[in-house]
Amino acid sequence: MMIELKISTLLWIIAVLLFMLLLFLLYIIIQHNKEGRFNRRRDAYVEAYTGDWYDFLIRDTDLSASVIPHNKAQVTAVERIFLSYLKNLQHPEIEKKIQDFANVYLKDFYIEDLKSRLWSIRMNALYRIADFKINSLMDNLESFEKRNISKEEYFQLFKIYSVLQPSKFLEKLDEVQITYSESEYRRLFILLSDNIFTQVFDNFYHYDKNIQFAIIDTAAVKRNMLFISKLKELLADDSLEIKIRALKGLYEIGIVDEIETYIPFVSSEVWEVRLMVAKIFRYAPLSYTYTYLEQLIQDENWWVRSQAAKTIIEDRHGVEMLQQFIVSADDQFAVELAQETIMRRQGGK
Amino acid sequence: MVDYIMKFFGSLIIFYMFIVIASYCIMLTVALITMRKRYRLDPSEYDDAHIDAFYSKPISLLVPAYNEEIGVVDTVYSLLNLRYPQTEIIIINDGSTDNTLETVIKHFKMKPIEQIIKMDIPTKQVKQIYQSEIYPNCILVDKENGGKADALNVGINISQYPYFCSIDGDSILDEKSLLRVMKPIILSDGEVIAAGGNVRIANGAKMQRGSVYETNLPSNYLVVMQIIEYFRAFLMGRIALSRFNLVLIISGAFSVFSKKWVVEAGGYAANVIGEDMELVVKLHRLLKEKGEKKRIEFVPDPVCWTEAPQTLGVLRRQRRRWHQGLLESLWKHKRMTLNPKYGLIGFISFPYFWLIECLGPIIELGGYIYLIFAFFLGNIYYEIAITLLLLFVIYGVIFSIASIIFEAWTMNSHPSTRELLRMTALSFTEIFWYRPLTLIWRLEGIINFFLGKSDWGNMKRQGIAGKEEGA
Amino acid sequence: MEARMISANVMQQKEVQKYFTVMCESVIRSHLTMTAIFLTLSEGYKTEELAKEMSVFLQAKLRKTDLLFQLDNNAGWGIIFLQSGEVEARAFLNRIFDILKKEYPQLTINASITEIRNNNITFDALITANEQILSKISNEAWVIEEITDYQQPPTELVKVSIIEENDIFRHVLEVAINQLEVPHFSLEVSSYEDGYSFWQSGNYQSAHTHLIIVNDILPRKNGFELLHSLRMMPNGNKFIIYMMSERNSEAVALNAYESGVDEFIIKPFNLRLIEAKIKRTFARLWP
Repeated sequence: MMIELKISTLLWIIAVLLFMLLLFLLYIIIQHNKEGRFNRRRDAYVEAYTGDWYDFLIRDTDLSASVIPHNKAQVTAVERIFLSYLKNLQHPEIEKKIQDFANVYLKDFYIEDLKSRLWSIRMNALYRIADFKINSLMDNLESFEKRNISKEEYFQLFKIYSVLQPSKFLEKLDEVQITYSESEYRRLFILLSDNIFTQVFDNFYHYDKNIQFAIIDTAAVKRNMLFISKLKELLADDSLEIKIRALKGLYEIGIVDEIETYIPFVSSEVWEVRLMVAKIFRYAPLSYTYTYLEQLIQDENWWVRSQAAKTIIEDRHGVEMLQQFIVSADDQFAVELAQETIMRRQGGK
Repeated sequence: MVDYIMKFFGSLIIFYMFIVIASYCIMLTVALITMRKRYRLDPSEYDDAHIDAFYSKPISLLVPAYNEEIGVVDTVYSLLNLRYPQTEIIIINDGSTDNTLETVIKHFKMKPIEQIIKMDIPTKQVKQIYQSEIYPNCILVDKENGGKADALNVGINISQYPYFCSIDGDSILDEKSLLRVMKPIILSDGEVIAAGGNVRIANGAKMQRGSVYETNLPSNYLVVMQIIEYFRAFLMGRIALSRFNLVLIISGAFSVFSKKWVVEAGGYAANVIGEDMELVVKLHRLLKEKGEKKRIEFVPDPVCWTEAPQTLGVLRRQRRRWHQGLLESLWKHKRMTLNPKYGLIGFISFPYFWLIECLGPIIELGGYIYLIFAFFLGNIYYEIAITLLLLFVIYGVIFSIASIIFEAWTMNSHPSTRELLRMTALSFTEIFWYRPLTLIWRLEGIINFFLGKSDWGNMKRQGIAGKEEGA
Repeated sequence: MEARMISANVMQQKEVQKYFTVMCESVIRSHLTMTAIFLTLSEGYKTEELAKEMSVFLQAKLRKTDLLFQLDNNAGWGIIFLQSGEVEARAFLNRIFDILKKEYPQLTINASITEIRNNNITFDALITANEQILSKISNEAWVIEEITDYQQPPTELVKVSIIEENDIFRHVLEVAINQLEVPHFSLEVSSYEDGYSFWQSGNYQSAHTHLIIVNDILPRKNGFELLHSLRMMPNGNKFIIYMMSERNSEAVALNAYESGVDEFIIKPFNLRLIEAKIKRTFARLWP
């Protein structure tokens, strides 16, 4: 059957394919040239107006009308300049100026881009709206949201709302249909003001797991004393995962005001819990924690044992305590570990 | 009789070629759809957000080095220049007989340190661990020779972070590559347990201190041919397979793994030739046996530059070794083939790798031999022979050109028009020399496998930075 | 007996002359202010005995880094305080005046202070200037005068190198630092896109104090490598190194400080902050 296939047909197929590829090749070469021109125009703008933008953004001079971008290449150049400032410098005034400028002169370009058929173009527009905090586009985004948009685009909308309209953000967070990963939620939460984030934390049990985990992690990074008690409350949670994460968060905050909360976890059945406690005790005086750490250094789990040893040796009297331990203990493994830890401390820095 | 045999083999080979071409077409289409979506997307958005330690996970970078005194310093520089918040670099000197150890010690001011090693995976003896005085996160391990897999296992034992990335001692990473190869892992909250990056050939690129600052097409035809081959493999294999979690090969030159899973799978297998593929297959197996919904992905753009062989002899050894490794891994896990327990991996990946990647050379080579026979036997077989030849053209030339063009379109690498045309022109010659040669080499690999011969195929290093080491 | 021996050790004016130029040069080189005090006793009490007693008294009150010498013609004493400014010298004078007033109520003493921060001064000029000012107040008692002519340090050339990959931001830094007014220093700003081009320029090879503002990650010779190479140089202390980083990671910051950066600045930062840091860094050069 296959044999029946005419050679001429095959030749035709090859010819057509080659012809198509040739067309593609031509298209790409033209495209490259176009891109080259585009880049040259962009670079020319950057070259010409970097000084003007410096004067305007840093030295508060007036902006001349000539810097207003009129085409895509110039917009790209302005974006490059703005992003260089925003990524490297932190001045509320500059942010404000960029926002104002974008609200007036870049807005229309992004409205166009949002209508694009290409996903990547729409995404880029959403990135820039968030970067420059273009708040005059809220209505456009509202209608954009009603279209059939992708998960990624919806995420960008989230980001924009979290920066520009926190109330809407909270509303959307309650009704979100799509599940995002923890790390995506973290990206959102870290940008929130403490006030809004506290509101999210208050609603902890309304959200599903991914959001809950992200809340715990973000709270740890924000290092706000306010969140310590909230995290401690979570230690009573039924979920093991939440317990461990809350412990980890408390460790990361690095402030231990009392150790009673943690004592029950020393004899937890889960080694990760014991490990976290061994870590947390680094932030409490050894005189209070030593009894428990002595128990942990003889733990059946390698990670727990070695963390307990590390925690002890961090203390000023740690070496002494370990030496005493070596003399008195009969757990051979633990003794060896203690010896190694001391050796490492003295051998290293 | 001869007539019958010739007809039979002719149809068989043609039939095979149809399957191959059809599967490549499918993969090409999937790849194009995937790539089209990302076309022109600004990637810096993600990069900038994730440079912050809060979002990303720390990574241990493992650099196994066996007689790499020329390349290893540049590799480490490229790792030091990575845009990534937290990394540790572990260079593992696998009992080199050249000056690898001394070079690294001298260059990075290494001082011996004491460290407890947790033996997650049993390995050969570690002689000494050193730490750099310049870069405290840079560690050198001196161990007894035990092969690349053993060296990597030592690295895994010593590493302190939850993910590790293996990088060959002669490769160079782009500064953002690690950040981007980690992207699927981070965004999936660890559902992706391994990710491999795109490997490119660095011959002809100008570099200094571990960064590539100009890429030119090398003048060596053999190398250009390999560049085209890499494009093809990338576009017509990995992207599509990755999309359906069917990847069996992620390059050992640059891939990230979750340590937990690798340790559970028993680490890299010593005494196999293709330890990178072996590990991926083992991971898939482990996942399926545990019923876990984890993924292994190929990430299209993170770039790792590596040096390609410049002479036929070295290339021959490399290909022979690769093919032997492929066959070895497939053979070792042959029970996964068409085994419902392993889902699509068993029903698509394995048959694909067996039929097209592994046994392909035999059939294709048969095709070439058929062509020669047909030529001597005269008229009656011309039709079959020409059909076959034309299929070879589609398979070789058309797909190669398509790969070159789509590579130029999707990736923002801008080869000049001249280079583009040069590569296209060279593609037309592929079926006459490069293809048959690689087929023969692969066949040798198959033969070596059955003879149980091992060939370590050490490549002679030119030094990736060539003569550019100015400072 | 003991008193005599110590007083015999007091240097004479002409002996000090020899060292004075060296001391002035060292003031410039090490940015350490030096201050000279001249003391005269009121006329009529210049007995040999009293002079000796005073020498012993002054010597006992001084530190090892201070140099006491007797002026010609027994006119009084000079003290050179190395590494001290006018404020410390005045405090010293007030202290000894209090003691002397109590122990020698019959005496009247005057003093003059000269703070020296440049090398445009000869020993003779110093002596003459102080003689003049002291003779003007010779009929007053317990007065401290001040000569401010030598207080201004000479304007020093300082090199500033900015090593940053992003061309727009590099321009921002370059312009901002060029416009920075730092008293007593003139800045010579140059900028580079990567570590390698900085290294190739050889700009680091002069004896000038050199402020280097470098990004931690750079193509071709990154910030850490540069930092190490610079600190390893024989006079590596002339470099003031600020490292900028977009990696918000404690580990990286720790590494940087341990490797010897003076400031580790996380991007994005406030331009005013870095300007203030630079000003403060230079202000500290002249304590």
